[in-house]
Amino acid sequence: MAAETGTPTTLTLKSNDDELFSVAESAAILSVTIRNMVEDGCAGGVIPLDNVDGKTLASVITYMNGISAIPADEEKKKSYRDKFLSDKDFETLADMVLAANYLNMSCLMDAVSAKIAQVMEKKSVGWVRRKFGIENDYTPEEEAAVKEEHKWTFEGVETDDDN
Amino acid sequence: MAANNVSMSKKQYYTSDLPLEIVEIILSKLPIDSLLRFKAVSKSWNTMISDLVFVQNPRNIFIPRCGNMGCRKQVVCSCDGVLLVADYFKRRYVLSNPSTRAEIKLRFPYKFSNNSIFHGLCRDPTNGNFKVVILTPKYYAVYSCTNNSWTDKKEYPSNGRLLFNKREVIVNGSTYWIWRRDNNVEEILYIDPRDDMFKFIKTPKNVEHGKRIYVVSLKGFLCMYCYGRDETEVRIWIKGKGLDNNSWNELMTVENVRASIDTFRPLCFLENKIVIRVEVKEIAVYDPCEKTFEVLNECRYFHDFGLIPYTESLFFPRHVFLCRI
Repeated sequence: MAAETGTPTTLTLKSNDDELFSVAESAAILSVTIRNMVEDGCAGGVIPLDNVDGKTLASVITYMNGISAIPADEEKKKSYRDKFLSDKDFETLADMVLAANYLNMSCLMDAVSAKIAQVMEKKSVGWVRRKFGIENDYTPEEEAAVKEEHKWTFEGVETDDDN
Repeated sequence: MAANNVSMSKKQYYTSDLPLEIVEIILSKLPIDSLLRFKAVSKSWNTMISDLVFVQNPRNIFIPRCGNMGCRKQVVCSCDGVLLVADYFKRRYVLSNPSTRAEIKLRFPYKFSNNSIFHGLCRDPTNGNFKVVILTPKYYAVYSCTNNSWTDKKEYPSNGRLLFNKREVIVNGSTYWIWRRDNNVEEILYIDPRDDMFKFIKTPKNVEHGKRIYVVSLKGFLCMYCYGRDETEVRIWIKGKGLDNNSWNELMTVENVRASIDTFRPLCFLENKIVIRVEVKEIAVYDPCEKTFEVLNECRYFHDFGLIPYTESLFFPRHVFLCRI
């Protein structure tokens, strides 16, 4: 790694909407994608991250800084992750899971996908279709039959205009 | 994230922004009831959820063999999330996945004269479907969910007998028993769900001939145990994963054992410790570093009805699944 011991190296990351961010190399290399670029010596100038927008990248960097400031204590890291994700809405979480996937950050990927699953858990079929942008390709009869098959799973679902 | 209706060929999964791999990762973290509900989202989600063969963090629990002593219906065994429930008096059985609440009923076609009837469950690796094995003292028969039919009465291997008093173990999609040859040497045998035949496994090399051996499933692996150099020591070996990997590795030696090996039965791991049934009504946690047992007082009331390890799954016998669609 380029860093000499004692001197913290700073990297500059560029989002796909041309925002620039400074981040300590030690925090940024939580991303395997960035770490590989650093190891390959491509980190001299600005690191372009073509699949992440500025808003999401800012959030990811907050996470990188926060989590790397915590010493090796899995309990504390977990509670940081929980708190970090607690106020995020579905759209933000979806952007973050894409960013975590692109940046190859397995800990963030795990945490965000688990959070999305937690958000979805009690939601209706209609909610899922809207949020994931899925077209209902069932005929009304087919849909009724599929719902009837697992009728008990519709108990306790959050009310929605389209259930 | 606007819902832009991307039209793709019917067989593809489509979402507005999230690629299929990521949707699958998210779905794998959902509890089973949510997953089954979301089969109604679209045909492609239905297919994707039906194809999900794993549930992350499935609950691993123990199910008592029977709620009350003397009740007619008993859970007799479980394999990959599916339970076999027996109603002895009527020779009726139910295969059921309690996580998905799907079930299939079957009836044992042959007569048997006494109560010494035993059971096994298998999952055929060639098609992922379930098989039920019913064993009587004289013959055994196998039910295949794929064909919805029973085999003829089949004969056991010659030279020896199945030790039914040593409980069977279901792991690797098959059922394992202890076989005692006429010269009193014990071996492990299992039923191969691919051809419904009994097959033997060689025991670990350094086990003395003629030692009493026992099998159990730990961490999803088949384990074998027997006394070590004397009766205060129990040595445990672990078999390689899968039906055809018959290599053994020594797992651990439990020391300071006071109980008889007939009641001794490792149940599960608790971090680096191991939970062991030491006496009929006594469960203890063994610490391999300290070599000590800590008795769990809250388990004192357990009767020896047997605890069946159960892991949640979405698996289910296929012919029922097709019938219902």
